[in-house]
Amino acid sequence: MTAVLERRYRRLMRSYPQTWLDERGEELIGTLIEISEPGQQWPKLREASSLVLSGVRVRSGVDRLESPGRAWRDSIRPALVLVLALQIVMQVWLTVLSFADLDGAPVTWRLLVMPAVTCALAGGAALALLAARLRLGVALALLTPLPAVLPPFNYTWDTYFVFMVVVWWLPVIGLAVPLLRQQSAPGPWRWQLALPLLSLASLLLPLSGLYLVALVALVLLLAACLVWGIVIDPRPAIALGLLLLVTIPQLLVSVSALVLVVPAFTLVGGVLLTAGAVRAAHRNPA
Amino acid sequence: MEGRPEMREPTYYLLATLLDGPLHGHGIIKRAEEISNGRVRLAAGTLYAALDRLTREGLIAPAREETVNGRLRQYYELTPSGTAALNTEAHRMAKAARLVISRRTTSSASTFPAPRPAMRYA
Repeated sequence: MTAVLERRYRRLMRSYPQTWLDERGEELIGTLIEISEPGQQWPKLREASSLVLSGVRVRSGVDRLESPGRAWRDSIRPALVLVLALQIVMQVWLTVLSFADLDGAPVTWRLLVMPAVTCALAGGAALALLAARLRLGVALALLTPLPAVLPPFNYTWDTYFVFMVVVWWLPVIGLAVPLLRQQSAPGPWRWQLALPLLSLASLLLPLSGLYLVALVALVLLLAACLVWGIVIDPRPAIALGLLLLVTIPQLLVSVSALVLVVPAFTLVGGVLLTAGAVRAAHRNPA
Repeated sequence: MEGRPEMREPTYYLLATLLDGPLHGHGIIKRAEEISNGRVRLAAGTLYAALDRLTREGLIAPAREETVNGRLRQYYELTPSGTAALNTEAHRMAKAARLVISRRTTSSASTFPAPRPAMRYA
C-alpha cells in the first residue's frame, strides 16, 4: 500500500527541480508517508496540489524573492525584451500590409531592408539583454527606431518622425534607467518570457487568415499569464502589464486606437499589474 | 528584528512549534495544528517551502538527522534570530490584543465576534 502511495507522491514531486529533489526529496517523501492514513493509496487533493504548486514555485525562483520590490525589479528586463519583441511583430505586420498596398507593383529594396534592419536591431537588443549584456542591449534598443526616419531609408523629414522616435525612446529609457542601476537578477528569469512572448506571437496569426483562432489564442494566453501571476509567479504578469502600459504612447496615432486599443491596453495592463502586485506582496503561501 | 515585515500566521505557529525543541516535518505539522487549536493545517509542500525560506532567512536551522523505518527525518530548531523574531511578533500581537481586551471591561461582551474558523494552508 505504502509503495503505491509513495510512487504516486514521487510522480507529483517531479514538479520540483532535480537539484532540490536530490537535497530534500527523501525528507519530503518521508513526511508525506508519515502524515498519510493507514491504507491510503492516493494522495489527498490538498497535498497533491500543494506539492505541484510548491514544486513549480521552486522551479520559477519565486520562493527566493526576498521582497515585493525584487519581483518588480526582476520584471524590468523581461518587459524591455517584450517591448522589442512587439516592435518585431509590428514590423512584420507593417511589411505585410505594405505588400498588400503594392497592388501588383514590384517590391522595392527599401520596402524590405528598412523593416529588416529595424528587426535586426530589435532582435540584437533583445538577445543582448537575454545574454545580460545590458548596456549593449539598451544602446541597440535606442537605435531601433532610427532606420525608419534616417537615410538611406528615408530622405524626407516630418514632425511625425520625431513623435515616432520619442514615443519609442520614452518607454525604453523608462525601463532602461532602473535596469542599468540594479544588479543583474539572479535565478532562472528567461522562462518568464514564455507566456508573454507566446501572447505576442499570437498577434501574427491573423496574417494567415486565422482571425478567430488568433483572438481565442490571445485571450487564453493573457488569461494564462494572469492566472500564472496570481497563483505562481508575479513577474511574467508584471512584465506583460508594463509592456501594455508603456506601449500606449505609440498608439496615440489614430482615433480608433484611442477609442478601442488604448482602453483595452490600459485595462488588461492594469489587471496584470494588480495581479502581479498582489502576488508579489503575498508570494509565500505560509 | 527592526524593519522585519509582519509575520504571517502559519509562519508564527511554525516557529512556535520549535520553542520546546527541535522537530521534524511531520512533528511540525502535528504540533502546529495542536497549538493553533486546528486553525493552522500545513500541507507538506507548503511546509517545506516555508522551511526553505525560514532557513535562508536564518530563523531556523537544521538540527540533526535520523533514519526511522528506512526514511530520513531532518529535525529543525529555532536560531537566536528566530527566537527574537517570534518574541517580537508575540509582543506585537499582545499589544494589539490588549488594545481591544482592555476596552472589553467597559463594553458588552456580545459585541465581540466569534473566532474565525480553521485555516488550511495548501
